[in-house]
Formats: sequence, C-alpha cells, structure tokens
Amino acid sequence: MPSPFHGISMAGNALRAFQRAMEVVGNNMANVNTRGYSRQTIEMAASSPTTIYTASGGQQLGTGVNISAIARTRDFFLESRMQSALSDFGRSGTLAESLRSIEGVLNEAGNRGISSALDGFFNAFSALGSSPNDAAARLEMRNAGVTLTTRIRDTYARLEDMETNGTLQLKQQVEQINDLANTIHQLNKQIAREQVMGAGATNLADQRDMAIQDLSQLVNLSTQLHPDGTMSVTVSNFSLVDQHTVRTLPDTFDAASQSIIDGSRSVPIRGGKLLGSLQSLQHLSSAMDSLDTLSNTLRAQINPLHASGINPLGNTGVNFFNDVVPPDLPTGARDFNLSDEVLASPDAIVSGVSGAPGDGGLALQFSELRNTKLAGLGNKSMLEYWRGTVTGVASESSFYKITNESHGAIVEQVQSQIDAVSGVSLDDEMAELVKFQRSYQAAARVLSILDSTTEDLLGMLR
Amino acid sequence: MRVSTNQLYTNHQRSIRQRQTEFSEAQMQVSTGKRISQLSDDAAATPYLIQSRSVRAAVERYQKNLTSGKDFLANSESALNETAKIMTQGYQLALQGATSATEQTSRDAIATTINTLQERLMNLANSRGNRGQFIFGGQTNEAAPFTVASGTLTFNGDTNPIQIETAPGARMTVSTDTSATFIEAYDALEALKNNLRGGNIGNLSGLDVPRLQDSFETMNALRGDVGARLQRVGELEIENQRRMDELTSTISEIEDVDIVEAVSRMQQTQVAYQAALQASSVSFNLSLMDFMR
Repeated sequence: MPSPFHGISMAGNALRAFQRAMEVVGNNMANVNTRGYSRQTIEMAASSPTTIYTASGGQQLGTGVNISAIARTRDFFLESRMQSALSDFGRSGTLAESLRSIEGVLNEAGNRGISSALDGFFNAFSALGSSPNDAAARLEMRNAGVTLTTRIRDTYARLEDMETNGTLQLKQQVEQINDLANTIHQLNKQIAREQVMGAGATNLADQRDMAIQDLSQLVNLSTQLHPDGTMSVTVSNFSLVDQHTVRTLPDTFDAASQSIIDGSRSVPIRGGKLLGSLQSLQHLSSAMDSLDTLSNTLRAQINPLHASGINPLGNTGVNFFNDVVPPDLPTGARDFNLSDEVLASPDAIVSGVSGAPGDGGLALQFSELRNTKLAGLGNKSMLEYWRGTVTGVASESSFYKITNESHGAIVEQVQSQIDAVSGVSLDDEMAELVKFQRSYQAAARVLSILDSTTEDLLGMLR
Repeated sequence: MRVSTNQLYTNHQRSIRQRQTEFSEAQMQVSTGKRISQLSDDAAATPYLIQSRSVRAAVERYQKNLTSGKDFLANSESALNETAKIMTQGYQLALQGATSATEQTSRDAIATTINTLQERLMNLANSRGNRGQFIFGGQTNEAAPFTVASGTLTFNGDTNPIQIETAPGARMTVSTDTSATFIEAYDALEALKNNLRGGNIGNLSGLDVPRLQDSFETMNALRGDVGARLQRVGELEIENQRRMDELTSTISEIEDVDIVEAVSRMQQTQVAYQAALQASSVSFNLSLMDFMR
C-alpha cells in the first residue's frame, strides 16, 4: 500500500527530472559553439511501479519518472571515417603547400627562371660565335653566364632553406604528436577513474575524441576502445598510447623511406601532415639533385673544350665555369660560378680553338649543345632535362592542389554528417526547452492539485 | 537531415568564402591579363609553354645573327662590286692603250691612272666590316690582310670561314675567300701598267685585255655568290619572323586570358557571390525564438 503522500513525492520527482532536463538543454545551448562538443540528451524511464491491492487483486501503480542516463550522441563509424579523412587532408595539404613553394622558388612561370637563363646562355654563345669580333658579344656572354650561375645558386640556396625549415616543421609535428599522446594518456586515466565511480565522463570523452581528431590530422593512426573506458592509439607498428602507458615518438627520420626511425626499428608513416612533410623533403631533395646534375653537366660539357682553346688574352687552359681540380669531384650547384678568370675579364672567354680574333667555331659548338641529347641526363638535352624537373613539380603541385581540395570536401562532408548527429541545433533545443517547461508546469499543477486534495482531507479532520 | 546551428553557419561561411575566392581569381585574371600565375595553374601546358618560350628566344637570337651576317655580306658585296668596276675600268683603259693611234705619253698617263686603281683595289681588299674587322681576312681579321711590296699583293690573313648560326645546328658562312682573286687582279693591273709604260702594244691586246676580262669575271662570280647568300639571309629572316609570330601567338594562347571570356566569368562569379551573401542574410534571420513571443 503506497503512502498517502505517494502522489506528492511522484510529482516532486517529475519536477526534479524536468528541471534536470532543462539544465541539460541549457548546457547544450551554452555549448553551441564549443568545438568537438557532442549534443547531450537526457533519457528518462518510468520508475519501478509499486503494487496496490484492489478488490480484483494486485495492480501495478506507476511511481513516476527517473533519469536513466545523460548520454552524448555520437556515431562511432563517422568518427573513424573522420580520422582517415583528416589524415588524408593533412598529408595533401602539407604537400600542396610545399610544392607550391617549390614552384615559387623555381619561378618558371614568368621569364625569371633557370630555363630562360639557360636560353640566354646558349643564345649568348650563338651571338659570340656569329660575331666573334664583337667585344659587346663577349661581355654579353659573361653576363649571361653570371645570370645563369647566380640563378642556379640562388635557387639552390632557397631550396636548402626550405629543406631546413621543412626538417624543423617535421620535428615540431612530432612534438605535437607527443603532446597529444600525453593528453590522451591523461584523459584515459581520468576516464578510467570516473568509470570506476560509475559516471559516464561525457565531457572528458569529448575532449579525448578531439585530441584523436587533431592527432589523425598529423599522422595515420588506429584506435581501440577498451572496456575500462581507455583508448589505445597505434601509429603503424608503433604503440603510442596504450591502456596504462604513453610512449614518445622519436623525431629521427628517413625521408627516402618515409619513416620515423625508432632505434633500430623503422616506423613507416602512411598518412597525415607528417607523411606530407616527409614527402615534401623528398621533393626538395630531388629538385636540389636536379640542380646539382645540371651544374655538373654544364661544367663537364663546357670546361674541357673551353680550356682547349686560346682566348683573346692569349691564354689557354682557362675554364669557363669554376671547377675543382681532379681528383676532387665538381661541387654541384651550391657554389656553381664562373671561373675566376672569366669573372675577372670577359676577354678570358674562348670563342675558337685557334684564338684568331674571327674564330667563333667553339662558341657555335657550345650554342649547339642546347639540342644535344646527353646520356648522363637520360638522353635529354640540358634544356629538356630542366624542363622535365619543372614540369614534374608543376604537375605534382597541381595534382596535390586538386587532391587537397577533394580531401577538404570529404572532411567537410563527414564533418557535416557528424554535426547532423552530434551538433547542437538552437531551434531543436528551444523546442525541447519549451517541451520540458510545459512538462514542468504540468507536474507543478499535479503537485498543487494533490496538495489541495490533501488539504481538503486534513480540513475534514479538523 | 538534422541541421545543427553550427553547420548552418559554417555552410554559409564556406560558400561565401568559395564564391569570394572564385570572384577574386576571376578579377585577378581580368586585371593581370594572365591566365597562369604559377605553372601548376595549367600543368598540362607547362612543358609546351617553356619549350615555346625557349624556341622563341633562340629564333630571336638567330634573327639577330642573320642581321649581323647580312651586314657582313652586304659589306662584302659592295666591296666586290666596286672592285669589279675597277676591273672594268682597267679593261677599258687596256683597250685604249692597245690602240696604235694612242701616243706613248697618253699611255704613260693611263699607267698613272692604273696606279690609282691599284691603290683603290688594295683599299677595297682591306675593307672593314661594321665591327672594324677586315672582312676579307678570314679569321685573322684584326690586322690588314693585304699588303703590297714591290708591285705584288701579299695575303697575310687565313682562309678559315666566319660563320653565323641561323637555325638549330645550321651554320652559314658569311665570309668569302677572295685572297687569290684580289692578288690576281692586282697582278693583272701591275702587268698592264708595265706594258703601258713599255709600250708593248702586242702584249696589251694579246695578254692584258683577256686577263683583265677574266679577272673581272672571277670578281663578278664572287659577287654573285655573295648576292645569292644575301638573298638566302633575307629568306631566312622572313621565315624566322613567321616562326616567331607563330610562337608568340602560341605562348599568348597558353598564358594570356581571353578577355571577353574573363570579364563575363568575373560578372558571373560576382552574381554567384552576391547570391551567396543574400542567401546567408535571409537564413541568418530565421530562428524559432522569433516566433515564441
């Protein structure tokens, strides 16, 4: 037999439940702009009924409402899609950005690149060979040489700077990864503790999901949720966070194999900004290799012939480009320059073997080098070889620009799906708020009616 | 589908940003006139663009080479032309001297004229080009190639050719080997002069007249050869010019904007941008709260 005040306590429970519900709605509304916040819903259940005995036997009488859970609405499938989408987006974004910078450094779109300097260089030889008596042609020849060597050197130096910055950026990314791993580890500990105390730890889980999202932008990862509420994170074959511990990802790397070196073991990186950085470094080094090859080819093709002739000063054995005396190898693009003799005087330039003032044979031969296919350059001429490098960078750059746009679209699409499930809608919440307000009013009315009937009863006794 | 408040705003933000980017790109193309600011803007056209530019730069160079070759050939032609005139003059004077009616004093006077002709001949043989070089000296062309000693002309230059590059891998010789011809012409005049002074009428008509005629003809043939090359240079110049025009228009097609298309695209993107702004301003004003007074 229920107590005489059963109704009153039931109405009181309902009032409390609706009050809580309005608070949950209010919390949702307050977090409408919070990144990573998942909409919370309050779940109510009828509380266990009590049994009353009537003439026709025992009957179940409802005892009102109870709050059964305050849960966050999430779709775990969408979340794992988001992780891989973010990892792709991070990688292509980093690559697109760095390729565009390389393109900017190569500067071939206008007329200020190495291609046009090479053209100018060969054309100056053509001019010198065609009018070897012209002192101006000799001066022009030296200027064209200065332009070419300066552009190659400057381009190389800027690529080298980019390489230094790229390495720095990569190390910062590893640092960020380790920071996030620590955050996840700390959250794991707290969540496990709350779980033991029986609470759902919704906000902590939200924070951890956000850290996972940030992490998946940086590197490819897989996650596993354990029954104690903790989550372990693995990067390829490297266990970053597990149930109880966190490990530091080392920042030693090998760009060629696109992996992080952990002692004797290598951790292949398969996604995220970290992979983008590793690949950018590879692009940089291949562009720098091209410049080295180009510089050394110019040295090898021009210097020996140039040294075989006699210049207007009457000297022979003079190199056109600076060269290191054998057995040392040529030094590549970093310090590519004209020889000291040519830098000192344009008259050091040889136009013909004989040294006769009208002999332009050698210069014409140099000019014809522009179309000579060279075995060392894969049967391409120097112009074609460099054009190949530039075209490679341009097409990669355009590819990753487009890829990044489509990856961005995927991220946005998944994000909007996640928002559709987990995001707060003010209109929705407003409707909920009104609903619970009305429910609260109704429960209050029930309370007041029951109160007045109780009062009536007490009045009869008076 | 459920739409969260955040989603609504980010969607609008995103589409406004996109329209804005498109509009600013279109605007950029109109104001710069260039379709390509980085090669990756049209990666497929990149190799072709660089190659076309490279070929155009080379053709431009060949064109300049042709100009300097033309100067050289024109100088040679006019020198040879003058020399041929001298030989004609010598031939006529020889005929005059060979006539028995002519007095010996007149022959002596003619001989003096021949002397002047010889001097002019030597000056022509040592003609200079536009850059001060001796055009008939071969490659040894910074010192006068012809000198006279005791009535004979000596050649001190060489017979190596001066060449210009006219096309990839193609060279044209612009110098002319005239050493033997000038020496023979000078000798012929020298012989004529001696026979005039000696009054050897028989030699004058029997040897000098045909010898001078031969010399004139050799000179003329050389001139013809130079003239033919000069004409070839002219043809190559026209050909190169056409090639350059072609390349210029190819390059322009790749990198320049079709201005009509660009302007209409700019207007189109502007309209899209305005529409996006309009759409946002309408939906930003909608809220359940407005209907709950």
